[in-house]
Amino acid sequence: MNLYLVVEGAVVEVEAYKKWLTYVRPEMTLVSHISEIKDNNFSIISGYGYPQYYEVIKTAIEDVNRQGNIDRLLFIVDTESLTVAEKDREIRENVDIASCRADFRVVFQHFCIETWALANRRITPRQPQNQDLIEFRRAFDVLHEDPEELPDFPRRGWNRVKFAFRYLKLLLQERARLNYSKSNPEAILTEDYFNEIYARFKDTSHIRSFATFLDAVSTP
Amino acid sequence: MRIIEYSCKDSRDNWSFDKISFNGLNLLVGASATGKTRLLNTISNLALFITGARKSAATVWSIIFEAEGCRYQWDLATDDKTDIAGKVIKEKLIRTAGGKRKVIIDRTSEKFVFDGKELPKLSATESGVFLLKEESLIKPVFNEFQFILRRNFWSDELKSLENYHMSDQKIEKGLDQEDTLEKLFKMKVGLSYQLWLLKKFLPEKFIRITEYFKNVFPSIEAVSFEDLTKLLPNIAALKEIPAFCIKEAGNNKLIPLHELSSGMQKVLMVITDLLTLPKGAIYMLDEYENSLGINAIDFLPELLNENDLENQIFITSHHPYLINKIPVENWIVFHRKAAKVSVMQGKELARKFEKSRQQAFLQLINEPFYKEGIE
Repeated sequence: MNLYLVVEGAVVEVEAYKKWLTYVRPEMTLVSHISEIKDNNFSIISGYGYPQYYEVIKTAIEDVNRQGNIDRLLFIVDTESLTVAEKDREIRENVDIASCRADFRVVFQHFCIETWALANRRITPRQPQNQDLIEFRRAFDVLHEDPEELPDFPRRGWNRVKFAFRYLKLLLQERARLNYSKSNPEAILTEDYFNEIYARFKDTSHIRSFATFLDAVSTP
Repeated sequence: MRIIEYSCKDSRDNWSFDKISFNGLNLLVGASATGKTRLLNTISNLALFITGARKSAATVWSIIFEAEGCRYQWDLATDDKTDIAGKVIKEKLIRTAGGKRKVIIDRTSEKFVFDGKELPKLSATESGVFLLKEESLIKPVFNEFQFILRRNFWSDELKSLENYHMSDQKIEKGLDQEDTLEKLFKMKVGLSYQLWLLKKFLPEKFIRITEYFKNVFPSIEAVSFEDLTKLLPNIAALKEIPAFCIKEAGNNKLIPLHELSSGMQKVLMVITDLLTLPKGAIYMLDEYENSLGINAIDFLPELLNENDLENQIFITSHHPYLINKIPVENWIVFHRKAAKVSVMQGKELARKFEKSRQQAFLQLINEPFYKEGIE
């Protein structure tokens, strides 16, 4: 089986799916360019953000159709301020999905990849000491509530995407002295980290959008 | 001259460049700090060492180049890590022409052989090409290395181009002959005087330059030369000081070169450079696009394509438009591991990139060799 992934971000998603995909499908090997996809391969291209990624996905459909050996094309996007249904509608308005000869799947990161990363229960301290973290937790407790329900944080002028990023960054810093940034997502790439996200998905009713990733990479 | 292959190692800071093959047009791309500018520095330094303008230390060069129908291989090494004037410990210059190979210089610390004959002791801190530049076997090589023009914009490049000159009979004498471009190239006068000389001695070139300039900035209605002493009454001079001026639509005031925006100055300079390069000259342009608007950037690939320039050109850039407009075959992608710089040749990438319809720049920034530019 061959997969081609168009992801939203330039670094975090590229690095995350390089690793995460092989945790689910260890038989698959990453190649650096679509033209190198042969057998049980996957390749990732960054769409470099909204709305540029719509041009990239349209061209990716052309490439996939021309190449002919790709089974699934994954379009991996943040929903940001939209619901999954609203984002789905937006994508259908912008992309001619029916023209894709491969199986076209959308992976909805609802509402960003940090939302899923916040689902790791091991990074959340029971008794936080950091004042910011206490404040964040008072606003929303990611350990007990669904990270997908994280609200905006108007006290600091943050929307929910920014709040998720700052929350995750602080948790990783406090708990494991790890630096997480948009250019260095190393902290969330390990198999242990991925397994914690998966466990939260399996054990609870939280981060339901994670299913769109698991379905998209499942065996036919 | 055209550089075919090049490698270099500087032992003072351990930087090294693996062998690179060059095209006529070379677009050097890579993440910041991967060594693009440094590569151009090493080529410039080699040229300065060869022409006697600068000493060298602790550097090893290997270069293959073509000049006047011959191919030359030149290996050169200087020693001494601490001194800026190291001694030449190895120099070998081999010429291949019409299938015949000739060792012109074969030199070590102990022995200096020129054209098969051992020479007496000569200055150890100069290149053999500089020392023997009057010899007919060497002269073509020495001459070629004088025709390398490097432009960068972090120094006072534009400021020096703003310099005005009094018209000078001595300078102008001899410019009406065949080698006007070569003479102008070596003069390194300010841009205004250069344009004035072009108008006088090569009017077709001047018209082409100014027409191109006006195409990039359509607001310019006319260009002219005015005597600077009339434009700036506090300046006194014995002779006329020709100042290149523009006149824009809706404004009667003539704007002299030094009052033009830096974007206009850069564009005028690059157009003038490219359209007046003598045959065989090499041109290097480093991050031209910095602080420029798109109108002042997008003319460059057009100029390079439209005019089918025969000179070898090196451009470094991070700009998507510029990169997209230059064929992938002409790219050289940089990657650095500690102080070791390696490159991916555009031809290799083109084979891959042509199989996708994504923009070349997008494919480039997704390419791991580029993306993980520094290890």
